[in-house]
Amino acid sequence: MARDTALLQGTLDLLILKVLTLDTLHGLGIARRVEQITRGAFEVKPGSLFPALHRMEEAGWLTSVWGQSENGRKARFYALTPAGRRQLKTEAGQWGRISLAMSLALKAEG
Amino acid sequence: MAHWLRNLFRRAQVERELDEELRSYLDLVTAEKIKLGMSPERARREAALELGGVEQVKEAVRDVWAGAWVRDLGLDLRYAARALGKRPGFTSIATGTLALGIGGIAAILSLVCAVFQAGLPFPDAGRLVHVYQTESGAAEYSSLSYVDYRYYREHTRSFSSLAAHYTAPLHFVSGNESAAILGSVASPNYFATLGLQPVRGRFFSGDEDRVPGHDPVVVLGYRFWQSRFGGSPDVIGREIRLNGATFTVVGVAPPELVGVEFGRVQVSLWIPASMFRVGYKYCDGLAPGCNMVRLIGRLAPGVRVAEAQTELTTLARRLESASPETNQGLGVAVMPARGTDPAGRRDSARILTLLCVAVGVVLLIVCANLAGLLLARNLARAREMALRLSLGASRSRIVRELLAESLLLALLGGTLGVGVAVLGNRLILTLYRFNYSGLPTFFRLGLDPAVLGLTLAVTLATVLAFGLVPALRASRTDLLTNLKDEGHSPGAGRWRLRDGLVVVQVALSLVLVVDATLLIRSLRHIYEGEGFDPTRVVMVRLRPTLVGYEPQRARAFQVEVLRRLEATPGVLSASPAMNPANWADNTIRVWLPASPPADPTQAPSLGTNRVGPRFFETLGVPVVAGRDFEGRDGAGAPAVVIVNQALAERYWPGHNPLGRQLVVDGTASEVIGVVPNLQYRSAGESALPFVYRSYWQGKPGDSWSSESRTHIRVTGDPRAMLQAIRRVISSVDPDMPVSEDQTLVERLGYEFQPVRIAGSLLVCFGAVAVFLSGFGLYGVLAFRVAQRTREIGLRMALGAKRGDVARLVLRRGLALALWGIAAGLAGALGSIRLLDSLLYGVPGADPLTFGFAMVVIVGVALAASWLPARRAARLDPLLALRHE
Repeated sequence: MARDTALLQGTLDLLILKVLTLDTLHGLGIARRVEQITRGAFEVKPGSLFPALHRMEEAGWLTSVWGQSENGRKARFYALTPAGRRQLKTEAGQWGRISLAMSLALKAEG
Repeated sequence: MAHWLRNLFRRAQVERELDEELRSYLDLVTAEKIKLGMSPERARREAALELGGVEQVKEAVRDVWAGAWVRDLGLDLRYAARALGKRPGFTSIATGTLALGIGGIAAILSLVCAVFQAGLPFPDAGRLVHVYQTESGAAEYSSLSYVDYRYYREHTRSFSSLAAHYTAPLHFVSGNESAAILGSVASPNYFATLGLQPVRGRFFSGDEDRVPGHDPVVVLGYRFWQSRFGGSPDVIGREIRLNGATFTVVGVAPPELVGVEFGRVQVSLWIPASMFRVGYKYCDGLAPGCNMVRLIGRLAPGVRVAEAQTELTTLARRLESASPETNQGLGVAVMPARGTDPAGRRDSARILTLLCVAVGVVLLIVCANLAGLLLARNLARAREMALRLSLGASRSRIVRELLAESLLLALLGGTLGVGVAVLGNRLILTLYRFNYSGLPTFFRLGLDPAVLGLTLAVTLATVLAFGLVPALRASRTDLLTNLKDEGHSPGAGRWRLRDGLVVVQVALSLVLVVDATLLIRSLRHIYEGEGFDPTRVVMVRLRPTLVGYEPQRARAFQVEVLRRLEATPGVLSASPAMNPANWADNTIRVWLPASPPADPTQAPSLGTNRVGPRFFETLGVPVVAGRDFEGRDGAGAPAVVIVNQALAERYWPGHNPLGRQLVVDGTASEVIGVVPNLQYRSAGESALPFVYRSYWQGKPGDSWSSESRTHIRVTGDPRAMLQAIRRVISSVDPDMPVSEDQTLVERLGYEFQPVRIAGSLLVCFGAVAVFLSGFGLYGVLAFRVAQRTREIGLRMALGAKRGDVARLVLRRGLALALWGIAAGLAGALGSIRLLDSLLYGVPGADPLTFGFAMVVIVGVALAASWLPARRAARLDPLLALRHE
């Protein structure tokens, strides 16, 4: 777990920002949605999910409110702030460049 | 409120919310699993498993919160405080050790600062400088003539103000009060140069150094005003008598002014330079060639010391060519007004080096001890660490906690250390407060904040280093090994380290014990007298010339005092002398009539004193050959001298010196007696050839020769007799100034102050060192016994007797001590070089001292080993075998 988070911290942030563009979600919701949109490639463990959420909230990218979950349980819902949207745009752009560069590089190798 | 602020400040609420959030997560996962068909119980269990430990997740979240480290530090410190509180023994020893180290260092360094660095307590004191006279070929800094001072003052551009001062012995009379005090003759701009304002009245006006004898005015020192005049405001205009002349009080100086040179005697009042002749009788203070004043100046803005030096040197050259008869080879030295005067600094340098080395050694012992303590403690806690690591504590967390503990120890030790430093400074100050003749000196000793900061930083670094290394080691310990190991055979490397630390401590303690013992023996020798018996001897200094006696009258006065003293019950004998019996620094040119030197100033200069009849008897010294001075050896009678054995040995080796002729200061004199060597010589010096002349054969015109330091042998308590002796003197002349009225033993204590200071401090250091190393040894052995309980049980089960087990431990303790002693002996022999100049009557490599020190160390080692040995011997073999 420790190694994964180290490698994928930036990725996790990006994924969280991405899934929150469409909806406000609670912790488990975010985890499940990430799993869903990455088709299970990313399994988000609470040990990395919650620190990431709190860190991003402190950074001002997210905001949270307490609300009712689908089965009536009190839960904390996270939503994107305008700063978060800007961050998503920057990070997505960066990610695009990196992944393009990486795939080009790998193709050239092959 | 911004989130990070909330996280930082509304901790409790934020914590509650995190808890709630995680519980909600658990519930949601559980609900999810139930939906998938799991039983609620199983679902809950699986959910918890998936979460992977609520506390770990919380910790991970807390770590990203703002101010995480602040919170962690707080937590760590709280935890550390609890951990330290649980081991009061360890904590008090560790902090006590630290406090002694820190306090000792800070106190000594403050003293170093006071001697070398301290600035004068006046406004903008950084620009004040002293100006001394230098003489080509002489190492000493001396005084200038007032005439030269005037020249410098009028021509210099480097100084915004340049003042002259001279410390004068004065006999003060006001109403029916009288006292021998020290005053200062000062140039009119003296106070302005220092930047001071009068508390009452005025200071001197600009022309009060023009016409000799014209301005009988006096400025009182604040303390003198308080003690003699009760701080009365109407003191201005009051008349007092100084050395027989009447003066009018014109002002009172502020309390911070008691002098301008640290280490010199405190000044009670000031008279202007025009009244120089009242303060000094032996040459005319205002005449050329009467070199009596020292200068203090305030540099003009932007001028540096070196620039002032260059300018004054140029002026000195001009003076030299203008008046070569008085100024041949004379120059000036400009130096910042910091610390004691150059002579004081030179004298202090050796003893301060010694003290710094000693305190450094103590700090080393402190560090070694502390390192040993921390090592042992962390070793003992290795299992606790392993357990906590396996329960999920992060390594960094544990390291931080250990560091916090060290930090807390350092802070506690530092705080206590400040207290120790204050006490230490108080002790040092009592030793430095008086000069060689027992007069209060101008000396300021405070805890320098810079010194304190530096010391705290050094100690903090030490503790962190010794806390950090074990902490890093502990964090790297292998979980399984430590848990299984159950802590009985610790790593061999660590053992060697701790043993080594103990050996180092023992060795350094031996060095300190040897040095302290040498100094104590030296001090005892000083108090016992060098060839004379100082007990039951008192001394008074009588200076009838100060109150205007003519030489003839002064002599008659001395004779009458002696007559009355010898008739006083309790007085065995009394004799006048120029100097105290032990003074070795007054010298005179001596040669044999058969071999006169071409240039008398090149003749060897030997120690000298003038003494009256019964002087040697008063000091309990036998005249080993010939006779004592007698009443007939007076003015007009043939010149006679008594020599000491060293002189007889030097000029007439193997022959009888009696009846031979010796030219002393140009006067052919007959040797009439031989006495033992009475001057103290330090370990590096050989006996000083010494010649005694008859007190009553002094030149009648020489005002020195009617002064005396009269030595008196009494039957009872000498301190108590002083009162009666003062009464006898005032029965002859109630206005006679009496100074230096002390018992000879007190006097010796003041004169050999460096030995006293070094001795007292080294005894403190030595005691601390011995205690600490004893404790260190105890710690190692006790720990060893605890760690090897099972092995000891096994030995006993296999037939070892209790005595054997005890011997095992004792032998170990002794072995460590002996290694330490071996190393320490070499160190102690090396350290003696530093002591040389402080050792009197005891050789550096004194077998008795070394033997004593070794006995002390072995004794302490045995005492330190005894408890662990007894514990080992009392182990129940059965219980010991079952011991984890």
